[in-house]
Amino acid sequence: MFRMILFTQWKWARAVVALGAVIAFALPVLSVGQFGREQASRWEVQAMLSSIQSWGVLYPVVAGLLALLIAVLTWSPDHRGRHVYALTLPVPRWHYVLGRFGAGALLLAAPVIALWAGALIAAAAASIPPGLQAYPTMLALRFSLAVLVAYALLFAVASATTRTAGYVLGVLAALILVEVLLSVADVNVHILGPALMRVFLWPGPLEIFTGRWMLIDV
Amino acid sequence: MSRVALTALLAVACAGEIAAQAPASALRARIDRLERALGWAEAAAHRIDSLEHGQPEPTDTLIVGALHVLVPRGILPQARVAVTQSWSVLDSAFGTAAVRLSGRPFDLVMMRGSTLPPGRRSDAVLTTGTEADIRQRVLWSAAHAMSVQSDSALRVWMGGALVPEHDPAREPRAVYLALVTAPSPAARRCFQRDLGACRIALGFTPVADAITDWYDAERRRVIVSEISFLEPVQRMRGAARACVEQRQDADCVAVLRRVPATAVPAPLPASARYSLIRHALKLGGRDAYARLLAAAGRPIDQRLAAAAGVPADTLLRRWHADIIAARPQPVTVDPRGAWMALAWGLAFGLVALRSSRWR
Repeated sequence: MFRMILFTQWKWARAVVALGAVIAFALPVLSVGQFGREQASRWEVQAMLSSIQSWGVLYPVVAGLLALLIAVLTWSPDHRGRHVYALTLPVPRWHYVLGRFGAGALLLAAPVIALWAGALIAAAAASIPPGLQAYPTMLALRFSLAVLVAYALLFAVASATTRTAGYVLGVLAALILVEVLLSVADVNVHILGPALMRVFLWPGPLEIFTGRWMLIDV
Repeated sequence: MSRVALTALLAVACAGEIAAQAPASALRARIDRLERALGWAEAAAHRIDSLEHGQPEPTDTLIVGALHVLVPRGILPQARVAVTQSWSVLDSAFGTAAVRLSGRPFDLVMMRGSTLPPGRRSDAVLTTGTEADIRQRVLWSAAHAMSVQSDSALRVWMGGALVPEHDPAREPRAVYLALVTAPSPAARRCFQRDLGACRIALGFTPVADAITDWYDAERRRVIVSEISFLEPVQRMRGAARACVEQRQDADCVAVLRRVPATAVPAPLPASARYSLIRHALKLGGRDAYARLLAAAGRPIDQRLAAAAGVPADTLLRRWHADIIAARPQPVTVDPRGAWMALAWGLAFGLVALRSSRWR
């Protein structure tokens, strides 16, 4: 049964997976564009690191986008069919959900492997000045964990009813609205900042997205 | 002042004419022209005077610690807060030596566009009027004033003003990066805890003696080619050409020993020297900066040791440990973070299993 679920999800999401894999492969390769001189001056090395850092912003963005698209594509045919197909299957519901989750996660492995391959090739091709090191495997591992966490979160949201998704979005909108109103009223109370800190700092769920995403670093 | 200059010019011109023994009519015409020019200059000076004194901007004087700041009344509340904060930062950075700022009032002027308002002193402190901007500008100006009051040996070694840092972790991180990436044998050995190399890389030895430790032969060649437009290099054209074109390192060294010390880029950025001074000041307490200034005339490393109150080697060792500890965290996935990510993934997965779709 898992093979059938995987096959159908591949049919729905193959374009996204292929495009994601190409982007994930290209990102590290493009990011080392400035690493052409081993005998670089201090300023040149700093420019290289700045360039790598700028490209590094894109890794978590790509991870988040891929997770979002795959999570949404995993559930959208079921939503469209009002879950009739799933409900007629002679399997426990958790079994079906696990199949869907596993198939999506497996599809996401393709961009992760593409990123790893791209990072390894980029690290081998670049002239890295003494004192700096390449971290292709660590970067790929971090990317895979970020994709997994974001996918699990968005899979849970996407699996819910429209009403539940509405509640989640409503809470987010309410937080932003309260923050804006407090700011307008000149009340020195901040809600959004601390809430985001809880989400993005240890032990928050999206902590893996923060930090330095640099293929080449000290 | 301008009138005095013009009168002097007139006198010089007349004297020149008399000395040339020109015909009286030509001399008279020249004097007339100069008198007309003097009239125009006086009118212009009068216009500037009326601009200066015609619409004086009402100001108040804020005195916080040794800081005297002339503030336009419109921004007094935020200026009071900002100047108080600036003084607190300056006092903790320069300690008892910060009292030297009392002799120099800072004239805060509201910025209009990107220009100085007419008639204001060129050393006025321009500000946009926000609290953060006033705080930062006063801090820069005060740091600059402290630098100007220090002796030239310290000023030249520092290569700028010691501006107190808001983020104490930023500078050591940058110095770590510089130590690791600097294309300099001395810097690299310094990174590997060779304190002698640290002394060289930090510029405690004269450039002429340090040049072979600062850079390798290839880098010396690049530097000579980069400063080939300088007059001392032009004077040694043959040696410079042998250095750049024939890669004769002895010629490169000879050229670099003849150029002014400031023309040769130091292997480490100025932040490395600032971080060492800050470390010395932190170790030395409130009198540290005063001791640094009082030790003028001694070698820089000894002055820093006097400021820190510890031997120079101890200071360098502690500074080095501080820099190494500031290593930026590269892209790593520590086991704790990885397990936490997996746990969150699992938790969200379980949430999906409990979806209201299935109940």
